[in-house]
Amino acid sequence: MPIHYRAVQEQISQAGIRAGERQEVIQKHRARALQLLQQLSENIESLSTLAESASQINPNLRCAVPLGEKLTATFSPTPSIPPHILLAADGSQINPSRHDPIAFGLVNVGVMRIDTSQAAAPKQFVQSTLIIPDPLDPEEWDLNEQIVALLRDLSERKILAEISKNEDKPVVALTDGPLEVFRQLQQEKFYDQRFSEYLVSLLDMANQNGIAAGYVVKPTSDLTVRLLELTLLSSAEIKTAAKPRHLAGVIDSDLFSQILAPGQRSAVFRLQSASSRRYQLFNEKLSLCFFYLNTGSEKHPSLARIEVPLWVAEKKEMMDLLHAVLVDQCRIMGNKPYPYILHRSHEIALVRQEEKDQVLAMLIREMTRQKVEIRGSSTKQAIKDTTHT
Amino acid sequence: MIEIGRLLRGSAAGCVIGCWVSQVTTPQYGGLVRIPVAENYQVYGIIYDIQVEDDGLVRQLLSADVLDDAVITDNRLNRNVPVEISVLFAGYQEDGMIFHLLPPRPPLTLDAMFQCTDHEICTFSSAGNFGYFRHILRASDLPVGELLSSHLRLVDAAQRHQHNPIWIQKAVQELIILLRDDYGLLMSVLAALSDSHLILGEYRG
Repeated sequence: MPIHYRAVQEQISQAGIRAGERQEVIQKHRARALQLLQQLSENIESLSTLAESASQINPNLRCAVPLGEKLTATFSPTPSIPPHILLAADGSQINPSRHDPIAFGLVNVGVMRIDTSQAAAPKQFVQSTLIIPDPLDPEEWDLNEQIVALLRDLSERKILAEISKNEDKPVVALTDGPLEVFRQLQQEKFYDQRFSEYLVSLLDMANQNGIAAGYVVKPTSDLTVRLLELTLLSSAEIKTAAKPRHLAGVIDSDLFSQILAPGQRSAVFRLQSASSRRYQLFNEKLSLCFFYLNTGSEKHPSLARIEVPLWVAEKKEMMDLLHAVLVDQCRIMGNKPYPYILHRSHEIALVRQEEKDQVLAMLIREMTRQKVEIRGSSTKQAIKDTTHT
Repeated sequence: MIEIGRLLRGSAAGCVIGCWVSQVTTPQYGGLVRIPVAENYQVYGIIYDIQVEDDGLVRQLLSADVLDDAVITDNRLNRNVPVEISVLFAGYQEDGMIFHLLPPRPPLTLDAMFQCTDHEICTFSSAGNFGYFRHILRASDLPVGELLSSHLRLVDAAQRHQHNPIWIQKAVQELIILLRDDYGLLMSVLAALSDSHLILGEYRG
């Protein structure tokens, strides 16, 4: 049966009316937030203290904390980029499905390496890791999408740290998405172990003086807005996870797209959150920070949020190199700015359905050869496969 | 032996070969190629089209103000954007003998295609009496004049390297005979041959 379009159309009309009503409120909030950002731009110390004390009251508080630069500070990229090694790793995965005859996952990480001092073509390779859960290990047996995603993030981080070891030029290592890994897993021991490995790889990169950065395209975070909001809250309100929201509906991009010219970056902020505290506790150098970057044009601003560890945020030459590299990479993609090298890593990593089917067939062949009992596809999946072909 | 690519699809009269963008420097329009099919059997063909496919990323890159050399080499060497080369079958070789006939068994998927050496070009083009020209002249949907002039120019160069400068004169005479009843096509072919400096201008009508 097709969608009941008439019923949906009625719901769309009502949603449109409600959104129109909300728009007026959001615009007022946006104007108020921008005004606060400008008013409080130089109150770095008092805002840091406020965020610090608020996080003591509410450990789950998630907001930006100024790191020393004015809130409305803007920085243009340096005109020349010194020779460096640009790395990017992006993972794709096969998620386990209980409808398959054999439960398995796969992490496929695509890696690109560009040596800017050489005219040679960039190097590329793929690392594929099959994940077969052990049915005798209750923690591992419950293989789910969250675990596969965690293993993907870990693989990306490990590969970048490993390659960086052998480089003799400054390394800029990019991944797609935030550096902050937060996943709600039931398998706490499993998660803690893998997360520690993740942090060790990040620390390896720090010890090699590499520049690690996570690129968040079209960010919807409101970390800076939440910082501004703290100034409007009483301490009693802060206790309730920073509710009520006085600047609801406003996101950081709304503010920084007004401030940042094409190519400019914002001030760097430290990320205050329960999960980012684990980075800090592991090693101060790993404390998570972030800044915004306008990769768009005069007419079409395009904001990205870049997450960097503290060891990068604190070093001007590292920030300058990262900033210039990101602007240059996004410029390559023309009117859809996004780092070229990240796009290419994604392109080579992408796992398609037919590839999943192929791996499954290979697994079934091997298990059959080993005389291992195979449960077969679920009847639901079998019917779907029949009716959809 | 220079491998150009491998067979994607084919028919009794021709085939399409897929190759990497980086391999496109070798094959030429009108060039003679060979596709070994079995131990004593290989098919000869003439390249009549080279298509460079695009994709979403290539189109996106064109929207940028400038294009880095690293990006160009990355797209040419690393990315899976194939070039399709169309080949018209011109004959085959079986047990050492050359036939200017359509191959009895076409090559199969993933058979490799090689560019012919000067010696192979001369052996194929000197066998028989230019019978393979029929296959080109019959391809009414192709720019026959252009294809023939490119092909003859390449074969002439190979024949001259092999000390046979009169091959081109015989080839042109044969074409005139074959096209004597098709004045329009004859004039078109002669004009193309004249433009490629293979014949003197007085052949033009």
